[in-house]
Amino acid sequence: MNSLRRSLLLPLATLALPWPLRVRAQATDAQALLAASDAIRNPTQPFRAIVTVIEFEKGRQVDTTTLSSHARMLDESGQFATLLRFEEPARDAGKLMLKNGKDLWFFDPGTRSSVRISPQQRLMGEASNGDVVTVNFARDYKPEDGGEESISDGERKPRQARKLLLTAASDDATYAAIELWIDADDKRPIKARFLADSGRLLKTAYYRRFERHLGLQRPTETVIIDGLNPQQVTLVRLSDIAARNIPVTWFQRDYLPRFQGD
Amino acid sequence: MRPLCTPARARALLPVVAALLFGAGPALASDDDALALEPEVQEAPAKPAARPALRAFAELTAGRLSQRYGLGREDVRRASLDLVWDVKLGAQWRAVISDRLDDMHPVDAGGRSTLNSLREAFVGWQGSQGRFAADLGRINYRNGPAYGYNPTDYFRDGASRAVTTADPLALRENRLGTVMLRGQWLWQGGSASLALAPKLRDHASRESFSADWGATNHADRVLLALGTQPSERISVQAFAFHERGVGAQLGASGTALLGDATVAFVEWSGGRGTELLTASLGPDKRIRTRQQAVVGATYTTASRLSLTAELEYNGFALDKAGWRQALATHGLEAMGAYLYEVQRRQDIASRRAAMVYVTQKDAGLKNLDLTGLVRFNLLDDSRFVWVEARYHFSRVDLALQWQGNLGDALTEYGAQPGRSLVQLLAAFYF
Repeated sequence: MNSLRRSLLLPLATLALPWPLRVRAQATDAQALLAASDAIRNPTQPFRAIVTVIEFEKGRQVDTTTLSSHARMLDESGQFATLLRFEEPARDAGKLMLKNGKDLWFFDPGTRSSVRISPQQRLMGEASNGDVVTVNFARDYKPEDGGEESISDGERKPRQARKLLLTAASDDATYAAIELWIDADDKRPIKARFLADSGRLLKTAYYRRFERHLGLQRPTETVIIDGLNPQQVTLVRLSDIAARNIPVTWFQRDYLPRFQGD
Repeated sequence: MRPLCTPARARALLPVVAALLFGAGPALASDDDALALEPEVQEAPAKPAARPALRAFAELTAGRLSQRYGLGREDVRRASLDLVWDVKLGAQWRAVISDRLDDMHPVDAGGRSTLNSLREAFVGWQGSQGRFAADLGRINYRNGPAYGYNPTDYFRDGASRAVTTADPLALRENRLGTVMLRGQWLWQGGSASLALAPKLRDHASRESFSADWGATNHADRVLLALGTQPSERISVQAFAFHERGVGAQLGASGTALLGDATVAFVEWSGGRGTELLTASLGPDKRIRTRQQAVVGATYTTASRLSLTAELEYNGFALDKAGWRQALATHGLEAMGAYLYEVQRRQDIASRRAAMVYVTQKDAGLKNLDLTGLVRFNLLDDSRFVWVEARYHFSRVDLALQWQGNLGDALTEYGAQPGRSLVQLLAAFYF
């Protein structure tokens, strides 16, 4: 009842504020909405999942990669570290990718070598490394409220959504800007458009197939459509999501030769 | 005067250009079409617990070798079987066996056509909190961020039992580990490790199925390594190495992320070691204090082209005057022994060298990778070139490779008996 009263009174209280304070309140509101949406995409507790990356070109399936993923927040800033192990295809089985912000390492069990790679070095076809790891937008982007919009969601159904305009606010941000649509009621992310410095559309993502995992309804599939060539579509599917607390010392280059996964 | 194409107009035209470029075939008219896509196979991915502990692949190659010194041309072929068995023995223990069998034709005089390489055989333990770990057995323990030459890879000496490729990255797959006891202490953002590798034999073995302990355990050696990351963009390693009868070396390496597309790396090692020439000529090895270093960078474009360039320095190798003098004193055959010693130690033959390594993933065709490598001897201008076009099917790779040794008659690469080689390769992944 208290929360209901608070939610009814908050808009009225905001209108009563002088303009600069109102702007600040909207920014806080946008930040809170973004953080709530992040918490739906990314469990706050350490977890593991199977990630299947399915690539389409001109409507035809051309490649499939399966990875097992371990992710956890390493500090209170909200930055996730992700350790990915390639499971399929067979030629890549056992290879590892470690991502901690812009700190990226690739380990090949054949050569027993860990190689630092740049964020631009993609390991999986059209999917960027950032597409398959856990990233909190609230940490790296500054949100502005873009108002209410009616859009089509990942299930191709009309949805009323709040639009947030995110601009890069940290060195770790992969994109210059993101347009993010969130369901204002349940805070679920619906759609995102990722933009380059020039304003060019790099990719569009739809979050869908919400299922209950680790206490919340979370998207288990992201459809990524290339911005320049919409014929290139990537599905990133999550399955077998479970809490798994592996030690923080495992998320570093020097541990990679020892990592065997679960 | 108005520009023909403003940035805003260029942005507006991008979808049109994209449609013209990629318009062939059934087009996805809207996001809705993309959202309607369904994978062909809907089976659930295997859970990690169900993952097989054995990874294996087989390779077949057939090619034509063109030779110098009137040796003509000859057919070459190879069959290889590569196995890695990595199994958990409870929550804190693991066992690893890694083995490769190569059958190569023809072979050099005195060589064996069939060579088995027991690359790794060890057991490992790690604490439940991830702070301590230890391994015992033959371990492929390698260090160094550079691509073509790694001065801080202290256990590389004698590790290549069967040389089946010129690709420096693939070459590392074939190397033998070293029998050692290794302990590692890990903390968040860093680690320290100590490796003790005893002498087990005096010499390497060329017997087909020898474990070849002497190849990599021919001296008592110890390596202390410290690794840390001062920031997300910088990593550093420091080394202290000692080999009984030779002396100590200190080393350091670092990597740095420059922007979003470039990784720079540097590697240095300095201290006591044997000169390459005296080591190749006979038992009277001269031990000297010298430096070895590499500096380089990898740049990657948005279209998945990666270009690596590195400059290499080896104080134990011959300089230009030393090469000329050695040729005059010992003759071309002795220089063959010198180059063999260079290969055995995975060193570079000249005091200064360079390497360029280029890869293009999905080169105009999905799953087609193009790779090229050029090694330059900066003192005699001879070059080694290797190029490969490789297509990945789901469980099979097909590749066409060409390599050539280019240079004047008395240069490092120009003196090599093999002038060029073209070969087809098929790899089968199980």
